[in-house]
Amino acid sequence: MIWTREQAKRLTDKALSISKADETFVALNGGERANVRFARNTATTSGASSGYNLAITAAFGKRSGTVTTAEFDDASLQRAARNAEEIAKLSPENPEAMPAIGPQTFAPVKAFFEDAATASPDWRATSVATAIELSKQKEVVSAGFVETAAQIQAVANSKGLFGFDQYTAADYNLTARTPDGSGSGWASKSFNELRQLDPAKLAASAIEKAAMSKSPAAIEPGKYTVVLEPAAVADLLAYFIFSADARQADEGRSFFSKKGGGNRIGAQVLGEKVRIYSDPAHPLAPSVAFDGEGLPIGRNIWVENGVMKDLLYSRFWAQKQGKAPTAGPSNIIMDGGAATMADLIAGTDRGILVTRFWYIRSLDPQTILLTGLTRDGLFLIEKGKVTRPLKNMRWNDSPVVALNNIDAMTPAERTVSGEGIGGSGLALVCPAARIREFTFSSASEAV
Amino acid sequence: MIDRRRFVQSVIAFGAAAGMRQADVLLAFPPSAELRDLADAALAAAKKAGATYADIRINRYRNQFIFTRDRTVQNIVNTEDYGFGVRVIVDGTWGFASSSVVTKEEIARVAMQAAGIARANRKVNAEPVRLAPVDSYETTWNTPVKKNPFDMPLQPKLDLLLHIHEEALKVQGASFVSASMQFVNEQKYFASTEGSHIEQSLIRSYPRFSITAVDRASGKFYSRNSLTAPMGTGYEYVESYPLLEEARVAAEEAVAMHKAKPAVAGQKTLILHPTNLWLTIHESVGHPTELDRALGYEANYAGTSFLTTDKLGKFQFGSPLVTLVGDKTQKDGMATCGYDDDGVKTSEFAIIKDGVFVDYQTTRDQAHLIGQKASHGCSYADNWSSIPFQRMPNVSLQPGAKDLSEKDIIGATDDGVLVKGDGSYSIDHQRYNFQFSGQTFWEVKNGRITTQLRDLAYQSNTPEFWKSCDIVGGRSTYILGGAFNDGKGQPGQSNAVSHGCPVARFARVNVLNTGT
Repeated sequence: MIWTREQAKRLTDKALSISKADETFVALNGGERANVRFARNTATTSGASSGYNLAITAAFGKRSGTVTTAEFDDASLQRAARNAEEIAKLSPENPEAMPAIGPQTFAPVKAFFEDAATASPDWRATSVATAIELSKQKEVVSAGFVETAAQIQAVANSKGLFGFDQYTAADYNLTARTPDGSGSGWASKSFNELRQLDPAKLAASAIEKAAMSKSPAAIEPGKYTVVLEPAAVADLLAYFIFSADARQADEGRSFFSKKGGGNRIGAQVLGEKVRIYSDPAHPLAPSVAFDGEGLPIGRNIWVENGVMKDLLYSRFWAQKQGKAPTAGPSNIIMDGGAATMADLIAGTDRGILVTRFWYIRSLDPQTILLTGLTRDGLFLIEKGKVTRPLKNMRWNDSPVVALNNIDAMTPAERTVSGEGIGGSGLALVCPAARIREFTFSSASEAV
Repeated sequence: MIDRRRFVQSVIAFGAAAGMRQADVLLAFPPSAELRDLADAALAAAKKAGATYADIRINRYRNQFIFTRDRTVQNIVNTEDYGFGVRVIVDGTWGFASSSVVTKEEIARVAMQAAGIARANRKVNAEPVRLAPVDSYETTWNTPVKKNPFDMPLQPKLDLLLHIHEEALKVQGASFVSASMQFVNEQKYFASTEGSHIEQSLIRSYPRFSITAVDRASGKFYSRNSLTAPMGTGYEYVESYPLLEEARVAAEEAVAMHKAKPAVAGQKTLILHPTNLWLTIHESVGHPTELDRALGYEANYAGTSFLTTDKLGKFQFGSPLVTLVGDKTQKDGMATCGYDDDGVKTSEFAIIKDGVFVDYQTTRDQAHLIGQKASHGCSYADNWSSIPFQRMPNVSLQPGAKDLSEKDIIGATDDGVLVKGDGSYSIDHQRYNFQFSGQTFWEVKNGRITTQLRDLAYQSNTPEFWKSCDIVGGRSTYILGGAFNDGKGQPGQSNAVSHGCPVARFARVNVLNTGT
């Protein structure tokens, strides 16, 4: 069993009580997780871990130091506290240091589910067996990963702040490949609740896609209408929000900087259909209600009707700019539309259906220009129908351009991106979308 | 692949992970006798639970991270983590469990848990584990350092970092500076049922900075990162690297980028400095020659490899000038250690020889899958709670027979581009199609550098690129690059690795303009 609120509070109280600093902040994180990997249609490695880590930040005025420890006996805590104090005293004053916050009220969250916390080794092994059996039946070779985790986070400080949350995650993802290596399919989901995870359905989806994508043909790189599955939209969404730091914008070194000074809050930056927000209480992505500094995470709108409504403000920058600091976020939600996936395809005269992206990196932060590749299922759409599998391609494009060019969306769903974003650390909810003029820059032979 | 920094605001606010201790409060790693006792308890418990093989790693990880920004010390963080992991083979199936409570009772419980996990997975394991033979060792190994960064006081570190700001901000047009130092110490105790008891202490050091020049009028900004690399060595690297001189140069180059000539797209002769080429080696040579990828073990995450096992010993990977070795014994290498996490003594081995693909990186449980009798010692786990698996050794391009200098290579080039420093990087999941950028780009005409360029990336395909290598520089141009965040596996693990190389030239590489 993972630590309870009482256990966590006992440790944070103890750590605070031994501190000799003017102000002390402590953060406790940890829990239990267990996983099984499989590949070549057989289980490969499997493991379980249990562990907790306490970070102690000691502050004297505007000087501070942080030390973490995984050992919680009196002597270890004393050593960690003294070391944090020693670093703080040696450190020069940080003019940007912020005073400790007082007690906060956190909205109750329901991110912990008993079924995920108590998932057994047998459940995990059986979920793997399901994919392997189906893969053998369909004559594909699968590799994948199942993990269940129950975690806690707690924060406390010498001004009376205390926060404690428990949350769970159940993740399942797999890649099915045809034995000749010419076809590959992938599926991935993460939920807080085990019963929502359907390994058989995910396996069937990846296996079907592997068969569909067999023996692809190349197509000339260039601009195409694309139908992006939610996993591909999710990466564009995540990279857009990752770039939305207020300080960088105000300092003139971001896409969100306004020419001549200031930032682009209030500007139309995305298409009018786009709404992006965070909300720990969202039913599809329940997540923790406070961040690593102990700030309550509430509902926060980033983009409404394509207009930038907010940026990510640190406590220091918020104070300097007379704004509210931005807590977290612990999830990102992009609203969808009413179309079905079939509608998106049917409405495409000539375009490309993308399962997921891979290896996305920034090329130019001034425009959030990214590069990445397609992977595990790329298909040509002609006259409203998926006609044939395509070889993968590299793309160079910006989420700003892509999210401006959306012309239809499915309803939003809980999504794990191709880059693996969307688990319990930062839950994602987004739709599939049809997007005009997406730029592919070169061909890839990779399957 | 190299992991992108995750979006965790609290990590930034909190100071990221890292740790240090002043010498007087140093937490001593328990003496070997105590560790040996704990380790032997684990091995005995595992055997009792039916294990035919077992190992335990009892590890302590210390980090120190100092982050400065715009003339202020933003954060000093020391992290420490301690725990153990027990790995067993029961009935031909792996099981692993770990805990941060390092007591005999917990070790016995966790050994039983690992055996239970192995049993649960037996039903889905079609390939019983076979381990390549290994010698047993009773030994210690430590990174040879002149100055242990964890014994160094804080003040000189802070002074040096803040001095970098002053030097950079002397340059007109330099707007923002960040500078940091990171130090890592892995203290590892390994014991296995093969009879080994191995104690190691690994140290790594990384100073770096980034300078940004903003032009408010045009709304444009350019950054130039330091060309430093993380190294498997002590504080002497920080002291010997000309950080202050480079801060000045970097600031000038960031400012000059605003007026630099935009790169022209097309096929170009590229001269790649080691500060750029190391990352291209990592992605296009290091990863495709990982045996677990070639065999499909990583198909669901990092990907597979175009270097399938049928190509071993025959495939023309590059031009005859190209020889690359795997080497976990390399001086100052980030992946350098005495013994890997299978208890195998580390060594140097050829991967690409005279352009031909001749070997993979291997571990004890996979060497037999390509008919080899011994492991190359490439097993690593990034934490006590992580499962050891095949990770990249230092993979390095060997210098040419003739000691050609950077100047010699530029002198031999009529029309090309010199690229320094690593920038954007991306490669497909079988390691064919890649795209890399850099920190600075220099036009070369008629044997001379003529002007600074901006907004450049190069795109190629791995074998085409390495076959186009037409000049390899000499030993005097050879330096190490590297990274802490070589990512692979599920759950994801980070491997620290270096790549040494000389300056090298590549003909007819596709260059893009990435600007607006």
